[in-house]
Amino acid sequence: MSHTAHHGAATDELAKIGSGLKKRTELALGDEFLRKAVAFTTNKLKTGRLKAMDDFGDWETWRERGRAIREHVVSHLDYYLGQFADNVAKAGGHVHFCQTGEDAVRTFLDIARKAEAKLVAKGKSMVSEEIHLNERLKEIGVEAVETDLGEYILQLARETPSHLIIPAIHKNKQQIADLFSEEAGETFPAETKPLADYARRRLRNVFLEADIGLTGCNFGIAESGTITLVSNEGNARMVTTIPKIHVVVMGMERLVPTFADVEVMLNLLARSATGQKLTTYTSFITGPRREGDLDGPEELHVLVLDNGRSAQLGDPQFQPVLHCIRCAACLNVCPVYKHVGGHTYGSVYSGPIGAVLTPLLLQDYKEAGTLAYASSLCGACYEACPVKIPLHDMLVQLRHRKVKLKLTPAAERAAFKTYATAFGNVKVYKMASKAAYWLQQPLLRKGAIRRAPGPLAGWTQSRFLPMVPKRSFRERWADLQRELAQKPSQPAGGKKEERS
Amino acid sequence: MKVSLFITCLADLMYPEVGESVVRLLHRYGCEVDFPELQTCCGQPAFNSGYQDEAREVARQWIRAFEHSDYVVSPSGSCTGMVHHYYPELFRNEPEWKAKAEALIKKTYEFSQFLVQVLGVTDVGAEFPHKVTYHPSCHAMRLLGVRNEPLQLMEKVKGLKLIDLPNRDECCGFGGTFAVKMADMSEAMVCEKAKNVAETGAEVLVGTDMGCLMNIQGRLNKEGKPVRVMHLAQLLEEGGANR
Amino acid sequence: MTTPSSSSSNPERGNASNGSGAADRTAAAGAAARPAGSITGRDAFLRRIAGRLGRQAPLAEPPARPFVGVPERYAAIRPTLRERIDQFEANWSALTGTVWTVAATDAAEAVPALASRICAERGIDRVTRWDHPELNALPLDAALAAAGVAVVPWRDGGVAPQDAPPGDAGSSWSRRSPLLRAAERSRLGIVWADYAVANTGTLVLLARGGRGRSPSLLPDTLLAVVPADKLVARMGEAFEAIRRDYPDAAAMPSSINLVTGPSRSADIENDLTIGVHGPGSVYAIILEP
Repeated sequence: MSHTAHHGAATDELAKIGSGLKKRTELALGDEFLRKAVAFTTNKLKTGRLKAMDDFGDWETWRERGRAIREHVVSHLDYYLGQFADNVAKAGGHVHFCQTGEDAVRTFLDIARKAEAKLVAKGKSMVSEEIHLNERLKEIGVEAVETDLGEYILQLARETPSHLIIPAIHKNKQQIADLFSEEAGETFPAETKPLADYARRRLRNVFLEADIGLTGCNFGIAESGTITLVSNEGNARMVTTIPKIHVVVMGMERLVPTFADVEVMLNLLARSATGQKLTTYTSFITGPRREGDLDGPEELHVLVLDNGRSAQLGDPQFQPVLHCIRCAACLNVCPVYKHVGGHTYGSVYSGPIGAVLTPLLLQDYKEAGTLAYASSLCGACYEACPVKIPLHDMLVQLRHRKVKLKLTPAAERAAFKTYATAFGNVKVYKMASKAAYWLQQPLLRKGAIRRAPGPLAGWTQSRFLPMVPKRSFRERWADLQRELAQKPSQPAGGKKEERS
Repeated sequence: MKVSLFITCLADLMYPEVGESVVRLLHRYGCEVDFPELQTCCGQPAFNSGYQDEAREVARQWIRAFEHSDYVVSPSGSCTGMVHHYYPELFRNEPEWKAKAEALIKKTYEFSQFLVQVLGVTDVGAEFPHKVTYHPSCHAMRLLGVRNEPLQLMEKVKGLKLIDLPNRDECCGFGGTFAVKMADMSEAMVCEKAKNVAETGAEVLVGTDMGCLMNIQGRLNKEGKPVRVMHLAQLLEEGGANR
Repeated sequence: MTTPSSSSSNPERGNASNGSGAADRTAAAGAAARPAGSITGRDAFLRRIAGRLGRQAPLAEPPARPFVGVPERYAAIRPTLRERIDQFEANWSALTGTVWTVAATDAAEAVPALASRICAERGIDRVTRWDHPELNALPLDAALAAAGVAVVPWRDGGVAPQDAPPGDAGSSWSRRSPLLRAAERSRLGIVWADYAVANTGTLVLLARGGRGRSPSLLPDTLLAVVPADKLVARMGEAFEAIRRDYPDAAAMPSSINLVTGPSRSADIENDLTIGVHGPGSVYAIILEP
């Protein structure tokens, strides 16, 4: 049974980010189609990225450039946000600074009410999901329709995205055909072309009828108050061309200082996300339409959102998490994500970036902090990140934060205290290692431990545990020294040794 | 050349023969190998679980053990990576210990790194006529930058047929406590890794980290797959031992 | 180079970014009849950020930077015109675009002929095009009309009723401009690229006045005429030119679009679909000097 059905009827426990993690993991691992889809998609995107990096050349220089630009703008965010806002206003836009998600939602609802809006056409916006905007719009009778094809599919299915860039990878053609068929009242075959054609027709109607177009913002350019939007489908262009009002919901950290800098970020973004040189459309929006323009919105609103971001500023461990450009390269290389997909993380942001960002934005180290353990700390995310965010270090530091806040189980704290005692002192260590040899005896079957008790049960769930040999290395050292004393050696240079 | 062996707690307790191979190889190249008795562990298990105070206690012991060494060589990319990448961070508020750590970092090497970069050896004169597949250690690659050295050493081994491991650079699912804490995720990862290893048809799986190898071997054994699992040092030593 | 249609005669003062002042700020409107912008909640928000970054008040002066933009080695690459044309052709074609290169002196003949050809091949009977002096100067409308193709130039007034279907009364669609409704009915949009970028295969289209956003978006086919002297090596050169021409926010075109190939999506089981919301067939005519 697909785990997505469970998600639609989420029990409280399953929805809890930390406590539900194990169950969500089980569900994901039991979903054959999901695993195949995620593995295929991440492999395709990862391969695309590697090829694009290779073709472009000098990738480490570009990464460092990207890191430096984002680091500069975030560590001077007070200046650049001020500059950005002033320029948006000069161009005729309305900037609303929103401290919390609730502030942003209320601001948006006010705009919608004032415009007597009935329909909002949404371009892809992770931030709008972060603040749960769609549900609140429904409450005041405003329909919000997702126009990104993947997000539209998910909206019909009443599910959340499982990947940052290709949100509905867990859906197969038949499932999509069923969703469209139910929506349209006619039957569609499970084939890409008719399904895409239907989506184009249906969503075109939404573009033409919508009162408000909603987008996120990939990069705000401070020097001109410009909103940069990237898309492949063209829906971002649609919702910012036809409706009378354009509302941008933007994380406050999504800035670059100048157009010259956005060139760097655009070169990094598409290549890291999908392996393209550029997405099909890159739109630079500066204010609403000007006098003499015959299309474009008459009103532009930019909602600048904090919602937990400013808490990372001034924190040397975590401030760099704000450098993220949401390319999902880290998702595509993460071996954990590959096996369990995005829903397992139980949060708007998934994968390595999600495991770090979610506890930080929510300031929740108890439940959300558990995500920091959903990693083997392999470092592939850091290696893939186009702006060099040390996600692998941040995961470890998040675990440390959980410990410092005394949120880890008492048994675990005691275990590591014991470890420090045993391994901080050679005498105790030697006793402990001897003890390990004897303690394992009753568990050994044919030279290995096949079923270990307590915390080690997790190991033997899927593996044998080898036996501890009678003599440790240090117990053999004396013999080894004697052996070497009898053997001649050569100076470094690689000649074979002579037999004595 | 005086070299201190950093055996690592895992090899000390579970894989002493790996340590023996490392020592014999180093000895062959004129290294005077000593074994500082004070050593226990680098502190990584505690550090990776977020217990930095406990990790520091153990890390101080490590520094005490090796602070007078000329070189420190270890058969583990992961433990060496811990020292290189995290000790300065661990001691950021203790300038004396931080200075000692930084001095030691310059002298601390993973085994294949030491052979190739310091001893200048790529051909140990070994012969190992078997089909071998190689799993690289995540930490060796990404914390230490060790990518080519193991391959360079294996390239020169006569008769060794190196078969490419699909998705080679993908983590095996060990991750220390991750393997027991997130047992389901770890299981998925190690099953895929073991499957890839078995499908290469290789007789031997070789690597530079016993954590990874213990993990993969544990799965292969459970599946009853007859692949022999060796540390690179063992392979090189065994290949040269018959001459 | 055309000048912006509604530039402000009094240039804006420099960026006023001081943190003091009232909580609400209304920015001065420079150009005639441009809507006034506003900022709400600025001071508390920026003060909080400044505080987290260890400052008493938000930074007022631009912080020093060791460098700006792309690596110098990359910026120093200067391909010849021929190389840029070849590169653009290769990139555009790789994305399934069609590209023709003709002599600029042949434009009056070639552009209408190629436009007619596209219409004939794709069964197109209605075209929307930019109201652009260069396009206006070509005998384009006449050639298309002769082939039975209706042309809707992107300018106010005079849209034929059959080109602007009304839609249901009360629906938003019925309240949209006749021009927009006509563009939606068109199957080919023709534009004159402001710039093009060789190393990505990209058109740069600045929206203002008669050069609307819709012609390059709503129809399922796009034709862009690209003067070779506007074909730059990398996008940064186009940005530099735009920033030079429109140094302040008020004067900037409200929309600049980079178009790199046809609209696409892989959201349905990773299957590539071309032509989702924007044009699925894209054509470019490069005018060589």
